[in-house]
Amino acid sequence: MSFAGEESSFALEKVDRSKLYGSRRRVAIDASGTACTRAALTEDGQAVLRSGMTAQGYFDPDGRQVESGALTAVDEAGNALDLVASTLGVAQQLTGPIDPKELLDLAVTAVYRLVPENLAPGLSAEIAAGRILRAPFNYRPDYRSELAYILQNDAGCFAVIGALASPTWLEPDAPPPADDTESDDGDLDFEMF
Amino acid sequence: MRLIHLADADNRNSHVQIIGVAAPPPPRRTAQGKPVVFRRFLAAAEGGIHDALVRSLGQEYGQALIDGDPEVDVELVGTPIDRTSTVYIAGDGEVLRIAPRMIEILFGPDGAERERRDPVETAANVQTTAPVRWMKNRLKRKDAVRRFVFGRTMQLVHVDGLTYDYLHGLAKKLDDADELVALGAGASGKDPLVLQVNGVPWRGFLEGRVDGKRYQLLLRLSNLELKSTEARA
Repeated sequence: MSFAGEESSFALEKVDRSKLYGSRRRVAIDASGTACTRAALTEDGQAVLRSGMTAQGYFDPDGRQVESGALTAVDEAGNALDLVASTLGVAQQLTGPIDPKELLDLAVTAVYRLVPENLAPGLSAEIAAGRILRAPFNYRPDYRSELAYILQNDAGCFAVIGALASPTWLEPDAPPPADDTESDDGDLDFEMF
Repeated sequence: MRLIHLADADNRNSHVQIIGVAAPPPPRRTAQGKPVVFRRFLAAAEGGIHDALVRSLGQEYGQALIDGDPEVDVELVGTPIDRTSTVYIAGDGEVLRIAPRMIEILFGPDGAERERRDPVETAANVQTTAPVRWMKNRLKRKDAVRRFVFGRTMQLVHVDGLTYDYLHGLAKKLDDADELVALGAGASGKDPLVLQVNGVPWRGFLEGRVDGKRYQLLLRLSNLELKSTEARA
């Protein structure tokens, strides 16, 4: 990370909910008390798909599988996107301080604790004062660039990673916005299954 | 339409709509200018997976794969898979015809098993006779983002003129104070929020923004604090 003409470097340590609070898992047991394994039954009932029987990939309109190296991407308007390189190991310019509302709007994809290897005095003072800074972040090359928000609290330094979402402004006489997430199961507690 | 039963600091309550605030969609994938689709397909028939190959060819079956492709069933491999249903395979390898008994295993932060018990079903609690209540805990925005990871956001939406006034007023009060207020569910008004049956228990915080007659009243949901595992240990 580069801030005010000084470079800092950190090791990344993923913040994992199960390592902080523990976890729970549901397991199916057969009549003899042995744990069952899960499999999938096809819709026509003809095949039971056990572990190792399926794969997934991209296919073109002619039904031919496309190798991952041949994949490209376009934005919502159909414009070709450039591949964004990984930012790991490459100094990224920190900007800010940002308004905390911006971080509240982040659709979070990952959280890392930052273990300082070389923390420049300018950056150290900035985040120790409670200010939050932003930098581009891509763990691996991708067609979408994410953002890292760097902050500090009593537990240490953290990077909160994600892409910005945009809540809708609501007005008195306007129709309500569509709920695109109503049918998803993003809220199901998958530790339960 | 999903609803939340909400009561404010003065115990004024109302049922209003909640909608998800979606993350930006990922870029659409293409190949040579044409759109592509992501699909699951059959990669091996039952006779082509490891256990079956060991049974038919023995442990050292690698050379047999090179010589004769016995794992490839040309009639089946590559078949697209659409919808499926979950089934369970018993310890003897047979598909269970009756529903299995379920148990719940609890693991500690160190990954070690702590307890086995009958599953505890979690009921949804945001649309019950007991409203989701404002708690006494309030946090400045700058402090909230340095303490919690907000993994999901729902937006409260008015359903008529009266609820517009109600929600706009709450958003303005919070925006003016630059604060988030903690919400609690259940009879005690202190329980975590559960949006659906067996859903994630969330700590909920309400954040408001106002721009003239326009408003955003956002339910910020968190199940993760910004802590290090070392501090926990």
